[in-house]
Amino acid sequence: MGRPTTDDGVTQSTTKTAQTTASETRRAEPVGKRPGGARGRLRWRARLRRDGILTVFVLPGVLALLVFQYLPLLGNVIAFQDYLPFLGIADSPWVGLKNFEILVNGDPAFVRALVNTLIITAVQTVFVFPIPIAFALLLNSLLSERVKRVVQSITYLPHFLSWVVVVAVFQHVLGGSGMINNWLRTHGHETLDVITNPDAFIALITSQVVWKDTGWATILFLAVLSTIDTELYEASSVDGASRTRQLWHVTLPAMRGIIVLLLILKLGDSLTVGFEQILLQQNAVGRHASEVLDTYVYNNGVVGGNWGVSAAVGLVKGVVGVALVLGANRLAHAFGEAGVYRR
Amino acid sequence: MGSTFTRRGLLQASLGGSALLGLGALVGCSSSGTGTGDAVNGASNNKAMLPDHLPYDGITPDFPGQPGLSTDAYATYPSEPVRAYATAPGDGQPLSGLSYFNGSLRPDLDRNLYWQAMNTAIGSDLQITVVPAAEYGSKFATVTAGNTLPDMFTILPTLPAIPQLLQARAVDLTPYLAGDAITAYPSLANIPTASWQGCVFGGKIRALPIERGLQTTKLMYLRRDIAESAGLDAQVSDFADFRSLCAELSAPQSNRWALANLPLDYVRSMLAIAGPWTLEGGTIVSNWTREEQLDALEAARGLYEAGYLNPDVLAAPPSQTNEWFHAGTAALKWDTYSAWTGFYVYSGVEGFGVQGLPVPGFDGGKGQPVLGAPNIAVSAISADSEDRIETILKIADWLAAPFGTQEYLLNKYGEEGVHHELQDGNPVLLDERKGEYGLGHIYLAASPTVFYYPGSAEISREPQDHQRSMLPDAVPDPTVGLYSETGSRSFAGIVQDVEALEADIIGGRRPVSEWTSEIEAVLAGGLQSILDEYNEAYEQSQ
Repeated sequence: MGRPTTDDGVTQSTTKTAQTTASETRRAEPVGKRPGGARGRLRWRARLRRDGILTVFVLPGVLALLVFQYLPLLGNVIAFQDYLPFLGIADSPWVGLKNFEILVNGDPAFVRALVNTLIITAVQTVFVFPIPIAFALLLNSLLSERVKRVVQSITYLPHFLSWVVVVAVFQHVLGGSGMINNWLRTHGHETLDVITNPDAFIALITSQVVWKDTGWATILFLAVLSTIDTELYEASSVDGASRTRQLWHVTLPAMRGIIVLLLILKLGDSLTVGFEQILLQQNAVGRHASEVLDTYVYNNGVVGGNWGVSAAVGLVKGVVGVALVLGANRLAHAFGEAGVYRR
Repeated sequence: MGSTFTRRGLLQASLGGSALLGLGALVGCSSSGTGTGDAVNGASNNKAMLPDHLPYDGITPDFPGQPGLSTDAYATYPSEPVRAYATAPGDGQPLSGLSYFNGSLRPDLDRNLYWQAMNTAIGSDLQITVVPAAEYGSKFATVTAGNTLPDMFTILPTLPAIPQLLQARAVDLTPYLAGDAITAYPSLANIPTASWQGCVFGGKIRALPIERGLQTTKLMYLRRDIAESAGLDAQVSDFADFRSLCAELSAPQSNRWALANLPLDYVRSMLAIAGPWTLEGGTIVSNWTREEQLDALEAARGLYEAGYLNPDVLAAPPSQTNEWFHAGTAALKWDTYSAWTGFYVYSGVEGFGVQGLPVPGFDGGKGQPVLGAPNIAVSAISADSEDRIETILKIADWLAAPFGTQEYLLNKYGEEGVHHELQDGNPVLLDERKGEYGLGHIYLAASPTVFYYPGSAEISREPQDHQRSMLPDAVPDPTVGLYSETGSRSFAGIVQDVEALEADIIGGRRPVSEWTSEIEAVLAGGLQSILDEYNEAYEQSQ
């Protein structure tokens, strides 16, 4: 089963001894030797004895992952069936690749969902992704610990609200009969159409995401900022570096690893944009502006009963996501970054 | 072959389920054993195996309805209700079920006196999983996919592929209920034939009806108290009248708009194009392709643009439209007859009153309302539970005990002194235990509905009067009793798409002119096949 040295990524990257042992054996092993020989098995046993307790710790997590993540993946076979829930996978007829035709035959509903998804992802990557970084830098520059704590706590809070609540809050404030419009109306002004305006939809959901998750997303960045050696700042100021130059030459390089990591993960999610958030607001602006791949899969599959087609779309979406992560990771390696995992 | 749900039922249920949301589990939202017998086409070849209709004769309505035209109404509850069941129908084993509820979730069994009383009276514990009406479709799909269907389950007309589903998973009830076999279940035998026709799938009885008779028909409600206090004359003799009524009812400055939900189907009734289908010279045609649709859309769009609809109407869930109507934030609401008495129960507003608007022609004369489906849903018995079938049918029969019996009283109004108190012999619900009733059982088996508002003969009778004025002009859905394979798979999705388009157009997000091309695309994308299949079935049934 493959080369015995490659199945131990965790140990390699966590303990220095393991790393050395692994690279030594890699060198010692003659190329082309049949893997899994008597020596390999012995080493495997020795390693198990050494790391046995750690393995036990990992087991429940692996089991949960298998049962709740990998096992359900098998259900994707319905992408190749004319699936009916009451017939089940066993009795639903097989239809080959028929369900995948929707990806290429220009079905307007699908194309619309795809285009909307890409636009929303692009907008959110440009506008949402950098905000926590900037916010973390801002917080980090605050001198008063108390102010910092208070600001942090307040900005974390919305993360714990469910989307139902967030959407309801936005609708009560910005809705046609909401707080702001009621005030405008009673004072004889024109009302603002925000909630039911399809042109404002992307701006609306983007600001909801920013409001809800910016505080939470700063946590990682703040953690990285706190690990930067203060001597670097002292040294640079001795050399006469301004605050801006310090930011550019000390702070940001230190954050580069985590930024690249999160960007790659974000890319893997790029075809997944706020299902619950959008579904809740879909009636308000109509599907033309708001249908994304995830809501399409739901509306078409669970509600409309086209399970096979929806599963096909979901499957392709997943495959594209994995490809994007792997591709971006490669790119990161090419630029000398660690990426999601080491090579 | 075999009859199915009415397509209109699909439309109604997906129009936000206001029929479901408008009424409390308890209220006498109902219709008599009248039904819409002559309203059903094409099911003649199923008649041989339908259950006999043996109307319950233990009580005479104070205001009798007319078959197909109006629902029985009652001024008072009998002072000495008959006991329909001498012994409890249950076998001591629990009855499991899957159904839905409206309003708030019921308390658990140990804190729910209504549930406890029902379990005792039935002799089997009701163990019914209930989910909110809006989530029923996805819950049902996962339960069927997981092959964990309980003894009884509700089938909403919006579910896809119902005939195939029932053939695969539901008991064939024909041997137990067809013809005079139904005499073993006198309460089920009291349900009119039109409703049983909606339970025939593939030539077999596969379900029990949740009868609503004429009550699923929709009308335009007006808050009479609001109109009166504004000194308005609510006589509407054409669309222009309706529009000016909307204008007069709208007062955005004081947080009130005329309409709680989209008035499109009301306007369509004025133009005689309501419902998805019409029978025209022996052929079923789609109403969506009619030219008048553009007029209806333009008129409805005009109402929205003028600000006569609550500005959140496109964003709000259907349950909220009820709140607006109760609170007077909206004065007009498009809803079913079954909501009528429920409005009074849940309003909590002093002097609250509703009335129904007539359906005039768009430019005067008479409009053409469309009849609702005789059933709001049906329920089926799992094929895995066939060994207990007689007990389950007996329990269903108990649950369907008609108005005037002790069983009905407990079923709808709970126990005296705990859930209701008798005022002049009428059970008036007590507020503190109003939340206990949503067990879901009312969508597993039900008696024919009647109009009855405890404590007011007038309110009990009002909706019947309105039926008498409106329903003589109403037309039935020509596809009732006909089966289309494509339709059973994809019509629910099509209706959803078309409704999304309607909302887009009325909300001004897309021009009225796009309707025609979009409907052409819908035709090409499956609607034409559905039409063809219906027409084929229609010819065969003639």
